[in-house]
Amino acid sequence: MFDPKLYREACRELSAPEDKIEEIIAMTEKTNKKHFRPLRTALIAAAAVAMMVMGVSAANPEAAQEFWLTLRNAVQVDQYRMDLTTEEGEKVWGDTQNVIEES
Amino acid sequence: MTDEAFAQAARTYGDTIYRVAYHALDNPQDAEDVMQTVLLRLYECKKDFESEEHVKHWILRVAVNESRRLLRSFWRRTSVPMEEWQETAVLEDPAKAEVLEAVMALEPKYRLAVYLYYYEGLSVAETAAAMRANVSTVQTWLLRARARLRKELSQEEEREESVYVRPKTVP
Repeated sequence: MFDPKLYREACRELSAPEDKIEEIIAMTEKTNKKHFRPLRTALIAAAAVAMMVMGVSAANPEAAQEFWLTLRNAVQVDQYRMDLTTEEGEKVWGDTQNVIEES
Repeated sequence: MTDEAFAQAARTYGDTIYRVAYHALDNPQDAEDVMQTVLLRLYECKKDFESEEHVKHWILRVAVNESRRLLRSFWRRTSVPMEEWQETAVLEDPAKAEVLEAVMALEPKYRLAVYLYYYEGLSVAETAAAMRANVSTVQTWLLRARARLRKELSQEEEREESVYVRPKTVP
């Protein structure tokens, strides 16, 4: 005769291995963690900037050329820059080439 | 689902999923695989469960579906690894082992219906919903399963009685 109570007791003894359940929990916790990778972030940012620059220079090459020229001039002129103090004690600054020409 | 909620649900329903899959597949390794699949589906599920009962019913339904999917798979139907062959749960109590063996000797659909109805305490309608079957069909399955179990277990009792030899009384 089928005894439901005995069957329930038998079923209660059937259980999943605890280590397997813990393994699944650990697996989901591991996959959920977000790791911050500074090198990867920097590389992605650099690639994005490079692509943006390339895009802009392709769309408007004259503006890009002007930009690079301004940048180059700024760097070059800065090498000849000097601070001057006038006779009145006023401080002025300018590039050495202009000061020489003016004097 | 948060990590804490998932961990709690996995510890609460892990055994339930394992038992459903074990009843459907009659193999501990496959039952563990189904348990892992169902728990991962629960973890990825974006559904807002209304209550614990809702979670339990969802889990039972998914466990039944996953077990059926594995049962139908071509690879499982055509091959059984040697180390897994005839690997079954071992119960210490012979009476319990006999009942479980009798249930596991039934067809998978009968086994599942018996498990959901008698162990999980679902109604016939809930069992039908979990198994995606008609209520009348599940009623028929349960009737047949009970009849077969009655027959099988009474035959078992008869066999045991025939083995037992009554000692002769000395006058």
